[in-house]
Amino acid sequence: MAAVACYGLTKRYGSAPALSDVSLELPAGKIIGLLGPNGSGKTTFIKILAGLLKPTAGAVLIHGEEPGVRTKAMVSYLPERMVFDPGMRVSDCIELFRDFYGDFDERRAREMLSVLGVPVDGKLKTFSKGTREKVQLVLVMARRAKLYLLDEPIGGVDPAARDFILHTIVTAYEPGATVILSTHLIRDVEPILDGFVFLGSGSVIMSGDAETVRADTGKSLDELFREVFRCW
Amino acid sequence: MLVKLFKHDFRAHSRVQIPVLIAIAATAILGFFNMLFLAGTGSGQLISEESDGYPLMLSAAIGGTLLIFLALGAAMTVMAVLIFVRFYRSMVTDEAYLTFTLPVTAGQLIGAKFLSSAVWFFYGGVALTLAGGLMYTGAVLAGGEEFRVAMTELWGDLIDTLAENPLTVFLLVLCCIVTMIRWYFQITGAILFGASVVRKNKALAAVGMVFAVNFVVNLVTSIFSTSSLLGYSILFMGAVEYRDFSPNAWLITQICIGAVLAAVFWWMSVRIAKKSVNIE
Repeated sequence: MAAVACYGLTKRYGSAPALSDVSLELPAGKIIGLLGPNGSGKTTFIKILAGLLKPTAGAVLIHGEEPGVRTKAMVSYLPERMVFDPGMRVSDCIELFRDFYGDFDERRAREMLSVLGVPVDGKLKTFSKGTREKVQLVLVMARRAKLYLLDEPIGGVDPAARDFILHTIVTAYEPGATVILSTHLIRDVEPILDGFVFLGSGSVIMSGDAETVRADTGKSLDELFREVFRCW
Repeated sequence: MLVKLFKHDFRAHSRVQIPVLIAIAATAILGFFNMLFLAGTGSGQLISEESDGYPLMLSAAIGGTLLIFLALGAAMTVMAVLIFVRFYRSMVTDEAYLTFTLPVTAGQLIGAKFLSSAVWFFYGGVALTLAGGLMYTGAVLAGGEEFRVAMTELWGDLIDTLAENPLTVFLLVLCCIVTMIRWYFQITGAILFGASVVRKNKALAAVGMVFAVNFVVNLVTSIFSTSSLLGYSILFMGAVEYRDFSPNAWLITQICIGAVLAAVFWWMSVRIAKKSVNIE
């Protein structure tokens, strides 16, 4: 069974289309890059999978189920923004994940935070923006989820932080699980990708297995992306 | 899940509400000494009524009392506003990305928020009652024998009146509870509706919708309430016959109206949270 399957998926904000008739199946156990320029519909697609948005038309299935309470229990979602109340302590965030997500591995979260030197009794508002983002990433990746949705995890961070984030994703995600990672920074994520989906103006431009496409075209995903989304 | 949601929402409220409770406690202590001052001055124990400074001291004591009451009222208002600010933040702003990806139903989300808000509002009410009790104690201690006798008579009369009308007392309490529940869901429903119909300036839209819904609901309920108060049929059907005003009948009407509106706004809040959530 596909980890994610969507058929004719369409989302409009008023009259403006964000996704137009997207149909694709994403296999389980792969790291898939959702790649596209700004405004291509990546975040909208991820929000629909996370259950935050309802599609205007079409259907989406996550491990055979429509987005809802049951899929939320198996999807680990990292949004672009800080979702925790800044007044919370890291230990409060851990407790919240432990209470709501049966697949949350608290020991693993504490180990990763310890490696980062983040005090669990510290308040989020006392941390730098980068540290807060790392706390959020650690909590999301410490779940033994079936599907990880990572929306622009490396956008707006320095190269060292990018390395840390990509390392965390590769080493922490549950084997057999699927990772969907949206970004427009192809060069940074290309080494870890098994598959890719190019989204442009809300439509799937190209998708497939990263290795196969590289062999067939003789180009890296980054080169292919620049070719497909050339601005002039 | 409801219990877990309640626990985390209660904790989130505590981060902002505990300072307000501390402020109420501090104001109550100030109020206690102010009442000692007011009652002592009023009864002539602190200063003679013929003294030149008497009017000034009495004015200061009365002004202080007014300020204390204003501060307590403001603290309760702040408490209520903070309840809805927390609701808005967790349902519409960045925090909503977490709220709406928890594996819980929209009904559980809204229900847990209502329960934790109710508990914090109850705490506020208890704090305010204790503050009033402390100030009353100060007044009794400094008010002299005459004041104590007058107060004892007043309380005695009040208790007798309540004991004679247990059904009215029960209906009054029930009416207050239903009205507060209706207010909560009316405001949460309006916040979610306001924030769901615009893509920008959601806070402004939410506040505007709270006032708009409040205006419409008050207009409609006042028609029912006034007609009921005047002793006419609430639905204006037929020529309507005059009947004696009954507080119990009026309270029952209010309870029914409140319960219906509470149910409607509950349904509206849950439906918006489930179907058309629109996060910033």
